[in-house]
Amino acid sequence: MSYQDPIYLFLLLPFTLIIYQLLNKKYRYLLLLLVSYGFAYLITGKKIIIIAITSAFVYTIGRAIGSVNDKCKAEVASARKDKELKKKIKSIYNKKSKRVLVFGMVVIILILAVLKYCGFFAESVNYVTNLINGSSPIPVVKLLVPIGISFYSLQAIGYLTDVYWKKTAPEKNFFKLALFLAFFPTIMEGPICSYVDIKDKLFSGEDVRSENLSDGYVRILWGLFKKIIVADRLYVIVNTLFDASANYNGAYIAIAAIAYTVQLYMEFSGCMDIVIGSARLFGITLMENFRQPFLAKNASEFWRRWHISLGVWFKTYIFYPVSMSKMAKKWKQFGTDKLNKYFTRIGLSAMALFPVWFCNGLWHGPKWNYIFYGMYYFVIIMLEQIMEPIRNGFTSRFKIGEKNKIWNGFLLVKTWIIIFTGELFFNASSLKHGFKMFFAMFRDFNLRTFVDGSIFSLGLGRADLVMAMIGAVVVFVVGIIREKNTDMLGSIRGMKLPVRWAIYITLIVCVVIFGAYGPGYQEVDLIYAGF
Amino acid sequence: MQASNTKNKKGVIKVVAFTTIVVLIMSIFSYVLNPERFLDSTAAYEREQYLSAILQEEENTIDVLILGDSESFGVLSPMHLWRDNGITSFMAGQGGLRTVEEYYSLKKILKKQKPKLVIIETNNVFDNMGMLPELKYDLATTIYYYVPLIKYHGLWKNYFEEDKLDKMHYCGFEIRPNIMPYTGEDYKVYSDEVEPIDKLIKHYFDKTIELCKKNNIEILLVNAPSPQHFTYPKHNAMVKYAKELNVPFIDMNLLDELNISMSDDMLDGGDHVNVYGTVKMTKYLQKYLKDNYELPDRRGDEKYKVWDERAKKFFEELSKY
Repeated sequence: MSYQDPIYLFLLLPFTLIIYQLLNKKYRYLLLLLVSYGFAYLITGKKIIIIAITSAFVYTIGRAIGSVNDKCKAEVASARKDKELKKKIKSIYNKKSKRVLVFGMVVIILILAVLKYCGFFAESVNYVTNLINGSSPIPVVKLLVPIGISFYSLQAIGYLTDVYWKKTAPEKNFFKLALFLAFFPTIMEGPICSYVDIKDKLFSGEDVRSENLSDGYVRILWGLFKKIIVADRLYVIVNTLFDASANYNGAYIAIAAIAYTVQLYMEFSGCMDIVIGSARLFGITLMENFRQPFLAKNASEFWRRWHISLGVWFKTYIFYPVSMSKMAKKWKQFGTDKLNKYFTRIGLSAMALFPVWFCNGLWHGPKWNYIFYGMYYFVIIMLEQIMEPIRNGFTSRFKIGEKNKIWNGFLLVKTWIIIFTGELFFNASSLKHGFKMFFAMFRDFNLRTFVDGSIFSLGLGRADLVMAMIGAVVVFVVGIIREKNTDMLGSIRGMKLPVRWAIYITLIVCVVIFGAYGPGYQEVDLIYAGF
Repeated sequence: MQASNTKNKKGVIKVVAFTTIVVLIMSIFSYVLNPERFLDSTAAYEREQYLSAILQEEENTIDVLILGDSESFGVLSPMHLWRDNGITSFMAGQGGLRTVEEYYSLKKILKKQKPKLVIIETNNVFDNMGMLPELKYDLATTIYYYVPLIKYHGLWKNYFEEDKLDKMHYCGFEIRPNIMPYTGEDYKVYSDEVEPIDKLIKHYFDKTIELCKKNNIEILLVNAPSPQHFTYPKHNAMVKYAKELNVPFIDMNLLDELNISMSDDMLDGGDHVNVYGTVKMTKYLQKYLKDNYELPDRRGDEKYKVWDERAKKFFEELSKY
């Protein structure tokens, strides 16, 4: 089962909504928990026990940190005006709660590492030993991973850290915490939610309201539009080119990279629309995960617009702590004494960004091309920072303003090339495969391949390809409008009834008639559900 | 209170009006994208092209209908039956046809045709996918029947693309002359065991039989020669099941008089028969139909003139092999 599955859309969602509305407000969160576990069971089977155990563990650790924090508070209060004593008490308890937090984080990461990465670790060690002495000392065991483990593990770590940072009190109701970690719209692909942001709406059991229903369903329809009109069609081309990449080179490889990037965006952001729309039906607002990523003018901006919740998580729980760490302070001191501001800043960025991008790559899965993908962005973002003075010098020398269309167009295209190249490696079956495809792109590159009809020979019929292109253009145009007007749903709601209905009906008709589903089309699994 | 009631009423009216408009628009698309609207059978999905073809036949002109999965493709040659007996027949099976699809296909066909006999190839009775996938498939097929737009929505492409499905067929029968012998061991290994039949598969097979009986259509169950699929437990199960249904069953795998050759009459190494196998089976069935049913001889009837032309073309084509 998946979010675009008719069983989810036409059975699970409406029935849950009806029961949710009929239930007493107090118990509505329990229904959401029940449905979330039922949904997870349908996807992942008995492995939901791992989600339940993790939830119980996170609950216990959260309570333990909270209890240390409470004791600290009480003792600080009893110390009255003795500032020194207060400081000492705080320091002692801070160390204690930190120890509990670190223990909690290590266990969560261990569960994730054992289930998801031990096979990869064994394979990597065996590869090295095989090169040295021809042996493979570690047996490769591929364990079964519960769905969404990468997503809820980050949520769990975020929650514990927030409790440690005293951003929130620990959740006292186990079932509420379990719901936060396994909420059915977010369990498969995120967005990676912060407990602080989501808890009020998630547990309050708000009544089902008509504006939430219309906003939610429009958002779901828009997600289906992206997924089954564009993404699932492009899948055919992507599969043809990546699976038989040895038969292609030049512009075909560029087409593969572009088609995959567009497919991934349409699919992942489409899924997010369905997810955000589903939560909205229950009055729950989830954070946006995409904000017109193809309008970014550099790689850092791209990552502030693409998979935003992951970026925010890494920024909050890795980038900032590393930037504020003792090591960073020492570097700053060293820089102030021995280096200039520029090198100090670059060094500091490298120190904080390296773990962010290494983890970003590794988070996507136990494969070297994912780690390369993370490192690729680390290098590019560092280069962007290193080159900043040169770029600024260039723009001021030639008096290029921020609104210069040619310059902005150049930046846009440059960023697209960076994105497409990154996704080429991301989707390759291995790092070696990625490099093979990358180098093949420079063999017999012919721009005419894009326009001479060769694209119709890649397994997707002419009408289907044209439909995917029209769909992509529509999404792009809507993206440009959204860039200027962030509350599009609110604007639609404010329109006159005939216009509003025309929009709703057009969306329904497009999805039903032009969607690539049913006989003659292949059902395509969600890409990010595999991470 | 009154204000809230008025608001509720307005809300209900809006929902009803919106739903009506959506249903109306979908009905228009349903009409436009109905495969039967297209002039030639090639407009439907490839798998359904024979079904689509029979739905475009002149109404009430088919006396014998053949149904089943791909094993049914080689059961009978309609053109031989026409030339020698003047019986009109049509092969409306589909590759991988499941019993639920068989039922709904027959329902569709019966809206246009009144066959006197339905020959059902029984291989799909043992094509078990497991309970959940079967349930999902049955549900989808039922929805497709009642809301055909969900199934045929993709036919909008036919207005923009050239037909790709131009396989030559004669009343659903394609001449498949390829020979790939079956080289395995003797596949008819005797056993007393009885293969279980999945409940959902059986449910729709029962419904198909019921539908035939309700429409006074005679039924003949056949199992086409297939070393790859035949087993004695399946045979035993089918004999028992046919008895329960009170319909005749012929297992062509056990008819030595057919003289099906494993080296010359196999199309693909033991799964299906080729045209040479079909000719032998047709000969047997011609006699069987003559002996057991009163099927009309339509030769010479002006209404069926087109069948003579079809047969002429078919035998010209067949003579090349």
